[in-house]
Amino acid sequence: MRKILIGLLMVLTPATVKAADLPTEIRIGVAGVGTGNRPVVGGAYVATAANNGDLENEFKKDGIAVEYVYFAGAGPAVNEALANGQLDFAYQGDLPALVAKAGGLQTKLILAAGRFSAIYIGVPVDSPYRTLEDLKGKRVAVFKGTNLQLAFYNVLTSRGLKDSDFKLINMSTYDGNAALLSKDIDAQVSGNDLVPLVDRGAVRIIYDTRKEVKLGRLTHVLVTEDFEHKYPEIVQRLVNTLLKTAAWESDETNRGKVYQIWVKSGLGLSAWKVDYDAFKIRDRDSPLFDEFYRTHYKRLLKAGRELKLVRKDFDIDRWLDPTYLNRGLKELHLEGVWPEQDAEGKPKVQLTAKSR
Amino acid sequence: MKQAAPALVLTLWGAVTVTLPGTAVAQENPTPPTPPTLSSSPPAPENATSSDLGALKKEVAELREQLKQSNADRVTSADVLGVQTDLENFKYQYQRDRETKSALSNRYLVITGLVQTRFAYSSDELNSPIPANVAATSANNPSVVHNRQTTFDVPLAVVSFNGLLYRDYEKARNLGFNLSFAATGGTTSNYGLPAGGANYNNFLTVWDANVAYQILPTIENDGPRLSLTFGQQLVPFGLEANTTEELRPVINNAIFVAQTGFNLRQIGLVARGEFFSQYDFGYNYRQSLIQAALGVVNGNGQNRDDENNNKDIIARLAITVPAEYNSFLRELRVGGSYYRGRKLLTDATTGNYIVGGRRDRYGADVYYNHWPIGLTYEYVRTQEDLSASYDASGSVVKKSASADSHTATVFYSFGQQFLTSIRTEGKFNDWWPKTFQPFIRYDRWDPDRAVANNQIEIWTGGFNVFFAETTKAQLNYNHREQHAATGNTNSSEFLAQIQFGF
Repeated sequence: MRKILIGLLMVLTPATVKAADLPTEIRIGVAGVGTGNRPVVGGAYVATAANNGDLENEFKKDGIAVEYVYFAGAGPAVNEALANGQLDFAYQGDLPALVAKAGGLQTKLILAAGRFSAIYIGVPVDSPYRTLEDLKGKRVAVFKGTNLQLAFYNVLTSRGLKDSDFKLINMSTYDGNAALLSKDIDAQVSGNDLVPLVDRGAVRIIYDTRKEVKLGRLTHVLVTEDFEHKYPEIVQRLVNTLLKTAAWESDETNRGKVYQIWVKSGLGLSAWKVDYDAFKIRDRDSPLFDEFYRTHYKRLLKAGRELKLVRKDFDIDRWLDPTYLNRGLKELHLEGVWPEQDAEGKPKVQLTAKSR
Repeated sequence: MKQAAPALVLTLWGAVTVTLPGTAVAQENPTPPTPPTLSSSPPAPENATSSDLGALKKEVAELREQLKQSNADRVTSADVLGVQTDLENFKYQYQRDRETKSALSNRYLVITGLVQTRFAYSSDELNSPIPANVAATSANNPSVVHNRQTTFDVPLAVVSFNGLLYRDYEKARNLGFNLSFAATGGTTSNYGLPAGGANYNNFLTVWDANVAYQILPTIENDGPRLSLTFGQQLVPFGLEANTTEELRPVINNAIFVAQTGFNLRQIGLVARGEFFSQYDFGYNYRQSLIQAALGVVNGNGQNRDDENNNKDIIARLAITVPAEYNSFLRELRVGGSYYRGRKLLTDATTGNYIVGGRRDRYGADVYYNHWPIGLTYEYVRTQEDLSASYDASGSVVKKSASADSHTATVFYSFGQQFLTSIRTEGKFNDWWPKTFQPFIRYDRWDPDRAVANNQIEIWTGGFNVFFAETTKAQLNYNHREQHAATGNTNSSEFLAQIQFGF
């Protein structure tokens, strides 16, 4: 009997191991939706890869399905799905990930996905308010729990203001847009989704952080530790595929094509041009965990603690795991594409001819 | 209309400046394509060769072609007229549809509805009057039933109107209203008998009719809540009586709900509050350490005035264990409920008033709903004067009883129906997270704790399939055991139900 059992095990084991080596599906959460709740976003190489079907093509040969899950509830909704085992990877912003990590969610950041992402403060076009200080005591909408909230807090701190100086109202991006148009609120803190409202002549931007990169927002790609532990090779292939997309996107000759992809989110060309034309795409969408990215994440953790949104400290340097990134850069010979940035967001070294 | 691409400015030999439209290069202030512009410049150098001139001619020809293409992309007055026409058509169609095909309301209003359609099978042949010791299977039994084992049934149809009478934009201290009408069946059904109705037909009756005012601001997700609800409403007793049809996994209510009258709405004033609340913006998760309710009601059921001057009092206190979202203790709550009622006891033959009596209920419950598993347990005890009469000396004699009930339900969800994040997922189609939910419930009712062998026990095994946003299919198998001194009676029923809402 024992021999039979051992024989059965020998027959079954290889198949079992093989099955465990490859997942049947890769689930990627995206903290956002396009206009009208459409499952399309822009503004990152993750969005570009999703549009191109890069990951689907990479894993098709192994029969692994890739599913992008777009959340209208943004980062907090991604966290809920992660906490309940519904996702393997996520593309999201800084604050939700910090909150979740501090709360015990077992994740690793494997790629930087965006930096310097500006916040904009819009008011109705006929509003008497001209500056941020004018909005003291007024109704200001911000999507709490997202990286907008933390960036806004940093803006206030940099100008000697406090969030208690304003009547802050929690509203999602598109609810806030609607409330701004109907003048139910005095101002909205948001992203480049405000630009179409400006184009329509309904909204005026009174402040933005495009020139103050240290007040900008961060985004990243993370993996659950559970998935990474089970499928490290899949993680590496995903990272390599995204790096190839990021390199293509960072080539300035592709800027027009990149915008063409991103407008499928429903945000028009002007929204992307306003937000990105002041930057080189390679600087905005660098995947590197360089000094700027690490330092800025530490700054954001501190701010999150001050806001009492992040419950405890943890080691940012351990959370940001460059293993897959560095291996991917080396394998794909992409080391010189993205310049390392110092803590202030300035290039640290002279660029190579390739990266120019 | 096509968006214009940024332009590239070329300078040839420092003499001719040409603007190339459609070239994708980033600029600080991009402008729409402009035709090539020639600057006032000196003539070409004299040492230019013929091949240079040839190349220049070729380049100019290419530029002309690009200019031609660019002009083709320009917005013309015809384009503008076309857009204007489309806009006028849209305005006309919108106005016409609004006038002729839209329901209008004086105030913000949401109309919803819920309908249950059911097939029922009973192991016993049912004959009227259906004895209490077998399963009822239907909410709408005819007055005469003969050897029936199967039936189709529409046990419930509800239309609800709710909205805001006053909307406070500053603090969201809103004044809202609820009005619902239900067509439902008999006294032993989930929903109670309409006033003056009979047990063999659906009667449309007023179900909820109340206004609710938020005393504390609700503009933010965090912070305490306190509301007052005035009018006809469900009373906040325990778990089972307060669970809406959309959420309850089991088709039939626990036995105690109908036996204690909690299947009926009551008319009165109830304050509900949540205190020591926290909102985790990282997960959009709200939890309140204390949930409390206190109210006064007629105690006489729905759509009826009070029968005496004593108002029934209801109180509930629930404590949610403080826990982070990732903790296994999330959504663990214990609660206690108390209902103090006074009723009239009448002469069985004349129907005349004899004396007042008690109608008190006590409850304790535990609730744990941590997706994908859920567990609820509820204990209820009653202390009630059932009837009164006069003894030989003319003194009033009351007959009283104390009943109790245990109800426990365990369920498991395969699918993401109950995850808010997944439900709000961006999709192009009418996608909904299909969810399968098996469950088991144990329900025990002892109508008189002083009497042995009179309990009813029901074991229910079931399976729910949530296949669209407001629709679910339910399969329930109920095994019922009626205890009696002469021996227990077993019966069973099978219910298949589609519940849909709009």
